[in-house]
Amino acid sequence: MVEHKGAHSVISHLILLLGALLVLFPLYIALVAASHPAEALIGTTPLWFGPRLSENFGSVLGHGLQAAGGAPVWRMLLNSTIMAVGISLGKILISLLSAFAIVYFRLPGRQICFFLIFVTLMLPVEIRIVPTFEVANHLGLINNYPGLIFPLIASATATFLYRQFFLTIPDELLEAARIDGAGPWRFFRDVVLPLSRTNTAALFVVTFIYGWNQYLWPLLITNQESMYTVVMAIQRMVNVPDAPVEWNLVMTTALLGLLPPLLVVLGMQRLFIKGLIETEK
Amino acid sequence: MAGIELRKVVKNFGKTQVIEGISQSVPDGTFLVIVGPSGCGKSTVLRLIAGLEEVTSGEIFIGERDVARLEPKDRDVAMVFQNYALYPHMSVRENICYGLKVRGLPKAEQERRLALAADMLGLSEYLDRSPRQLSGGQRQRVAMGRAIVREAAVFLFDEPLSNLDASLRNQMRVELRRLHERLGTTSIYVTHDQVEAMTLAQRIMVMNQGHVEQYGTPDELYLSPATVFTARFIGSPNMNMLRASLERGRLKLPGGTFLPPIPATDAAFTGRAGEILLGVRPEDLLPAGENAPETLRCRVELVEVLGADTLVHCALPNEAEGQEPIIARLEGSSRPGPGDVIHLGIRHGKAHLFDPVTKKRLAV
Repeated sequence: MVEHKGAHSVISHLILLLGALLVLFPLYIALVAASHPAEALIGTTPLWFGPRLSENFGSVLGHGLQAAGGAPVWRMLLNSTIMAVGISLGKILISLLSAFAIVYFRLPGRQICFFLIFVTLMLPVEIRIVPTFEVANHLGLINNYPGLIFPLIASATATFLYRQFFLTIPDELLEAARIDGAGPWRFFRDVVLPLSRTNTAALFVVTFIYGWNQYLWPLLITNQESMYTVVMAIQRMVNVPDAPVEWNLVMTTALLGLLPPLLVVLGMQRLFIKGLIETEK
Repeated sequence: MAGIELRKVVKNFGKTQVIEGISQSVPDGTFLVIVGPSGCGKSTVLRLIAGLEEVTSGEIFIGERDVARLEPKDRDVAMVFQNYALYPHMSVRENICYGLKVRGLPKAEQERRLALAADMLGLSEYLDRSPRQLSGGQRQRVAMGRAIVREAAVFLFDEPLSNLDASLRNQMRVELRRLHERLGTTSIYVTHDQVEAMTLAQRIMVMNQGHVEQYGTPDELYLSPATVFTARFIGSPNMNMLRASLERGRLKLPGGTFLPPIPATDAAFTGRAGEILLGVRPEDLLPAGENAPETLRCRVELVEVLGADTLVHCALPNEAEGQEPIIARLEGSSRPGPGDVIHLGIRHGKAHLFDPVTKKRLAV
């Protein structure tokens, strides 16, 4: 290995570059498509940029796609963002508190609680979608943000992650805090929360993307243009009745829909990686 | 500041009784060391006093108050943990002041106490560092700083030096002692290291299997151990224990050697006969002339040279089972070789006698 260092590093860079190209190529195609007028995309796939990039972005953001109902995409981006942020924060909050309760309190039935939470891993939205819709409907959660957010925030995975992390916090810290006079709430705020910082960041990234990519649930719980999310919107744009699909606008919307998760990942990258690999506290 | 009194303190974990009803009092300002082998319950006693464990029954008085059922924060105790338990995300300053902050002390008062403690512990330059940037000794000092600023009635130490290397441990031991002399706070210090216990303590409580074997000053424990356990636990190397018997008021070793009469004990043993345990510390064995009567004649097996002293491991022949091991601490210059036969006498008045059944000290 050592003597072939030059060749070795050339080969590994080639493989990495190839991988990057494979990933980036569809994005490039989307960007190219987003720069053409609709007619240019009928039956062909151009490989170089056209003249209408900014017009396409402007029209999608401002007016949306008339044939598909016509809500402006900024509104959908906003809906998606609120939903994704809501789901992330909700998941984090609920998981933090339930893991804290499970790890630090000797409440009766603690093991059963943990077990029940764990069991929900087997019940993703898709399986419980009919009863969940029924409940949401009765609670008046159709066509509003709580309806988009609440049914998705319970998270066994995140609870489990926090539980495992809390178990690695030495007991002495809790004991020191008790002697220092900190109650449970104070201990949570001053010790547990700051120590979970990187885990929380990693979890935020994962759950934000999970929330952003939700498709089935928003499709079910919303029926007004103004509450649609961007992921739904892309699908609706492709299924327009009685008109040619405006691929340039679809691609533009898809690119816009990619942007917020990308920004979240880039913004949290450092903390995210630290949260996933950190063993030392 | 306050004294501590334990009254019939019992602690069970499930069905196992780990503390079997301890009643002891620690005068105000004392530095008490609780020492014992692992699993003897010494840390549990400390945690009961701190309030980290609940007593099963009994009372714990700190000053005039029974604190046995109070939360740790209401007991007016400060504690230093074995692995320091510093909050890793807080700076040294925040670590030290956290207890004060939680208690809502005014900022100025926090600063005053912080400055005082930091100065005392030589931490002033490190206040803005995080614990992971500090060495083990410095972390230990931060942990102590956290206790000092609290100005609590009682300091509790749970094997605070066991994570440090030997030289640092000696240094911190001296510092701890100085600190105690300066602050005069009642302190309870748990350790399994009898050297730490002897050097730090004003009082020592030797524990074994959940009960107190002996409670007293280091000198009392060393010079007149109350039980075989204490005798063997305190002092290094361990005290030699020889099986002997009493015949007509004189001690007879299994090898047939009669030992000189032990004056102080004669009266107590009048009429007593039979098996007895004879304890002699290695340093109380003296080389004797070859023809001197009433000596232990033994064969050298191993010699450890420590510089100032020489430890001589010997075998003492006995009738029953062949040999009994015996260790003597001789002067550095006196170096027998393995295989030599040496004669050892017992320093006058330094023989400890124990009942072989109850393992308790006899008379003296």
